Amino acid sequence: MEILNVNNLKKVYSTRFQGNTVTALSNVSFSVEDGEYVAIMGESGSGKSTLLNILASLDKPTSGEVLLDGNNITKIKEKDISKFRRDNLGFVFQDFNLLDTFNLKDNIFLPLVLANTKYEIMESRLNKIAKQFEIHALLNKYPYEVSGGEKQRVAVCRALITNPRIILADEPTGALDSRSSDNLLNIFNDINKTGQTILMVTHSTKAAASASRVLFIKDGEVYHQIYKGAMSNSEMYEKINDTLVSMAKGSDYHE
Amino acid sequence: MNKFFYLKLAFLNIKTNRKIFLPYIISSIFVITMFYDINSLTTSPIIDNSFGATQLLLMLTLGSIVVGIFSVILIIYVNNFISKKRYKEFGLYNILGLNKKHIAIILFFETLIVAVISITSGICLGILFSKIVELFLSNILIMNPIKGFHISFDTIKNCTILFSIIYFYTFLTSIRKIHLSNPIELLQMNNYGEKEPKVKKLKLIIGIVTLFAGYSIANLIDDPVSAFVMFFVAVILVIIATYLLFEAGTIFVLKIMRKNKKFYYDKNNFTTISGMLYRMKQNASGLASICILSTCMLVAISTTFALYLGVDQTINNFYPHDLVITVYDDYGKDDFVDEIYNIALDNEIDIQYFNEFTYFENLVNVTNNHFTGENENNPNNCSIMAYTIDEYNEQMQTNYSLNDNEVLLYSSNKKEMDNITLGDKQYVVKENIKDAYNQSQVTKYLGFDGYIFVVSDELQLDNVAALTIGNYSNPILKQVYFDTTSSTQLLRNIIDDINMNIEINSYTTLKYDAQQSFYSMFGAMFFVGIFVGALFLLATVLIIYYKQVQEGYDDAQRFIIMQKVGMSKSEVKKTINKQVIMVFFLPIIVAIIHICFAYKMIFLILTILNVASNQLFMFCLLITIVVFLVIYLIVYYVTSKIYYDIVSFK
Repeated sequence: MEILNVNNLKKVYSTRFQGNTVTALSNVSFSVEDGEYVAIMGESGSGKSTLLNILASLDKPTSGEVLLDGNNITKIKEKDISKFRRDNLGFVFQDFNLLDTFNLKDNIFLPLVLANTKYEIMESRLNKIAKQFEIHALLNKYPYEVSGGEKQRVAVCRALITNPRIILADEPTGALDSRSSDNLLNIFNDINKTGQTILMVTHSTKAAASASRVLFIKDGEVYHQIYKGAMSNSEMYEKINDTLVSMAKGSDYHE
Repeated sequence: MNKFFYLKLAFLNIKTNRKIFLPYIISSIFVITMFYDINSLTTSPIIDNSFGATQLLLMLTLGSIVVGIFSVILIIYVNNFISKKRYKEFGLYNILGLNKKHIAIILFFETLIVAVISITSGICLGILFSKIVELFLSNILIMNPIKGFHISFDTIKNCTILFSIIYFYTFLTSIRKIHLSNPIELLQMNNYGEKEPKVKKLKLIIGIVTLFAGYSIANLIDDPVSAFVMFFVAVILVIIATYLLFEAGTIFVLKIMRKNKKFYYDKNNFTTISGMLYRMKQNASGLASICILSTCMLVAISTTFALYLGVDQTINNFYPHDLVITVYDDYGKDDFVDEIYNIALDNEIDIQYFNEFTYFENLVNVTNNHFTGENENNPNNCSIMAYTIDEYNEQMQTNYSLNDNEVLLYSSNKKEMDNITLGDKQYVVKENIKDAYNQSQVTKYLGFDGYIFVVSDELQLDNVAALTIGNYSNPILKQVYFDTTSSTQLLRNIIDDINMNIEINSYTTLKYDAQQSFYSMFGAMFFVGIFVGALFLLATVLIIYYKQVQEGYDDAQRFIIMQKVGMSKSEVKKTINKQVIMVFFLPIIVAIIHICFAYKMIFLILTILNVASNQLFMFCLLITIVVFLVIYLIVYYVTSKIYYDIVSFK
């Protein structure tokens, strides 16, 4: 079953004085199956971030549509957007985006509190998730007291605690050392195995190689995609690298 | 790189940082304008034309010193804030290849630009407004306005020198900070991790105790004299309490709120409580300062306002008659009162009221109810007055009669006694009276209790007078009162006639002269009160503005994250509003609470100065608070808009 459909997405930014226009996305279409783990790769300026912002309903496309479970999220009214985001999407960011005024427990609770969840329910969900991620000991600490890897684990907990339809991850390994990166990618694989849909934007070949499918974006269009299928991580790694090299050379590899 | 490059860079810096420079320059101009205006008044012709020239000059000089000192503090405070805000910028310059000397040159030009703009516009505006301020002052002092326009070159010189030194000092402190640090430190100075604030139990307890002590002192004291003495003790206690409780008390309360899970994990409280916890940690002392400044301002303006509005009443209390001739030696003349009356008639004075009054007054010692002659400066000194029951009955329209050993007793302190001992003679107090004729005469000595004894006859009056002997003795005095509609000049004429034609030792008190001197005294106080009050207000506004801007930058990142994890724009706005309102109005609410508790004490002190009307003081206080709140609300509106713009990256 398809959970996410992106059809003919176009985003044009115009500068303040209406002189120049910049096309960030020219025509992007793809879909994501329920339970899939998709990575999106592309160089800086290829439109990855714009795409993710639109999927996250933080930005509106110039034209085209994004269907989540068949509902067009670009048509959601401004006042309902944050509720929609809270209920359906979980976010993991490169720089964690934890609030330093809250301890880690309250950071994880934040989306639930905003959704007016009862304290008992929040507590039981947290217990389950904290066990899974082994962060029990950290809960009363503050973001500046723990390591980057631990922060990112907490951020993943925060994304998962609302039971979102899809997790959107923006360069989640970007600020982590290699051990913490591996750790995080394992976590992503684990939660993906339980049926959680993940869409990840990344620069890292290694991170992308852990996904079940990789989409390549160039100049605002989907340029190519690779299914992992039965490939091992290292075979996938090779294949992604080949694609990146040919993209850089500008050949028509995908045809 | 030539010098123009630095000048250009300095200009550019000020332009790009206008959110912090503009209020700095505007408030500097304001401060300099105020300083110019109050300082130029000290050399203005208004002084020579005024009645109490020395008093007025003293008040204005004091006022201009206060304004000067306050300007120094204010400019240095704001400059510290600005240079803190710009560490990152300087770190970047450092990395881009400008060494510390170059940065110092840029800073120098920046300071120079700010100084030149502020000092020249400040002085120009000062000159422009000086006439208005002068007219305002002459109006307050009920004088005729001075003709002509007066520019004080001394003041221009004073302003230029004083503020150049201040700006040079701010330049030195800024470069000192730059010199002491390396670029990485400069870059990171603004974003170190914030520890969660702890409840400081000791501070909390001391704060509660001092607040309680201060409030108790203010409300348990009943007599004006001790109120005057203890006022400063109470003020200091409350200031200490304010600082401690803003620091420890607010965090204590917020933590209690956070402990209540149901309350804390509520959409409406969650972000506000945690945000406030951090805000209070950084801003406790700033908010406490705002609170104290606004309390001082409200008290300063409302009391001087009440004194000024009450001046007529005060004069009527002290000087109930238009002309009083006090005779302390009549050389055995029996008919001098008639002679005075005839002189008045000869001068065609329109006499509305004429009377004579015989009494005794002096300072003596009192222990419990035993009065003895004054022999040294002694804390039990009090002011006494005595006259016969006949005088009393006539003036108060009563029908008392007294035996030789009986008195009526009036006490300014509302003390009641059953009997009193004067020297070695005992008297029974027939009645403790609430009002006595000429009672204001015994309260005119600041800091002394006053008593009036109404005795049976002149023999007993002599006995009271015998209480004090030698150097301390006073004769029994006779006063002659006139009330008239005739001109002051005519009154002056008969004073001359009396002095020339009647052989008595006397002095005269003209109500008109007293009025002039009171108006010049209280008017000057009111004027300086308004000036200093305006300055306090400016300081309050500035501190709060910079706090909001500072927090806006700190909070911006936080609110972006909240939006990303599912907070809507309107929710963010609601949270922001809640926090801004708390930060804004907490100090003012506390200031008003302070004033409520201090009301009784301030009023007691005002009664020493004979502003006895409760309604008048209440009225002045309410007007001051309302005006202050209106200005404060405008500031709130403007700052919260700027704050919102910063956090939403507009």
